[in-house]
Amino acid sequence: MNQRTNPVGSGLPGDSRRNASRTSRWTSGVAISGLVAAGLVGMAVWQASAPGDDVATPTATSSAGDGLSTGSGPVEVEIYLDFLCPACRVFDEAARPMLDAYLAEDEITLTYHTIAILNRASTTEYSTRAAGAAGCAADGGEIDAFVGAMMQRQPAEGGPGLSDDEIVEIGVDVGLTGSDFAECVRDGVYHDWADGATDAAADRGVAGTPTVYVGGTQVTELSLQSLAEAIEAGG
Amino acid sequence: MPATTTADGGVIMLLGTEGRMAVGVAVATATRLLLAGVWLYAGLSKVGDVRASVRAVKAYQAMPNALAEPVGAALPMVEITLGVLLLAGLAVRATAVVSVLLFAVFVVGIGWAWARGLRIDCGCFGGGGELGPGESPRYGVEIARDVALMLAAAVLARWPRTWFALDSVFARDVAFDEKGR
Repeated sequence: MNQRTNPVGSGLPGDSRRNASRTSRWTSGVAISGLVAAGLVGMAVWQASAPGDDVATPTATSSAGDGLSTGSGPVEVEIYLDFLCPACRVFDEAARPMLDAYLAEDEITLTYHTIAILNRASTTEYSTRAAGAAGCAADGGEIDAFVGAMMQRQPAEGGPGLSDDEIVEIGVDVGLTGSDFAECVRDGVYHDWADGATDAAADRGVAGTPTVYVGGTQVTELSLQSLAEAIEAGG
Repeated sequence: MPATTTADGGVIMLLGTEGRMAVGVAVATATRLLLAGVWLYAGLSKVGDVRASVRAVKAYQAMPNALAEPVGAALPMVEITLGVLLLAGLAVRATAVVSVLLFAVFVVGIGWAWARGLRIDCGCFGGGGELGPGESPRYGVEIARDVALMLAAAVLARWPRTWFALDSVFARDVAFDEKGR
């Protein structure tokens, strides 16, 4: 029976098992308390670092404040994109002629949700910087052209992305020639707004880009065909 | 009772009692350090971007956003603390039990995402739960990995005695204290 009272694992003489269990009780208590405390610290840090209500927000936002809108047509088209996402570039190139035609005919209101989910894929948080710059471009009234131009010059993943100066140049190319645009980009005025828009996307259940909503309903199996059908159906 | 009737199994029997204990403790020690490494890696890869951790929890759509926020904020710190405790070998059994429970929650969560047809990344090692460009979900691999880790943690909870553990230091102190009376 000696095998039973001294099993592999306890490693303690049989007569000290009572002591061992008492020891493991207080060390367990310490460990569990430590885990709970660590969790509370995590929550407190997150709470303290959450942006307040004074986040600078672009002027041309959608009603919820987390999108950049252009046009005034009856059907609302919303596009969630990350400027570093290759699939977003492919989608933008494919859908742009059609969406611009709908905009020209005043059939849609187009809202870009420029979110930052790929910050890990650049060394300079390019996704946040680019999304913030889109807010600056919206202030200048050129959000649609700016998104297209940024997608055409999309940098590779894994690197530093475009510098703020290069982003300013892209803005100049689409007519954002004022010094306020350049200052807005270089000062990162809308970085916090972009991160907040990213949180809002998660709240809505957006877990990837590009994601498109028409009339508040997500277009699944996204293609030009399904997008056009959703718009023609009036959302 | 003859030693050959113990439940330890035939091959290990050949080593004799001390040899069996040494093998068992060696396996438990390796398991403890493996789990410590996994928790530290998982926690440290999340703690630099807690907002992404919160998004990753929300991506499962398994709880209200108001609950997902504190959970996502707490998780990286809890994981790091688990890793530190396991690395130090303090309260090995308790931390192993907590590990089993956490891995079980993760397995259920990933299974839930799979069953609901969500297209997300598990967010296990950082990120906001969004799939990378061109990526497809890897639910099967993620579940298999977490089940394996859960079983490893269960083994450690059953046989928590390991080398280089603070537990043995405290246990010895108490034993001496009792004998000294």
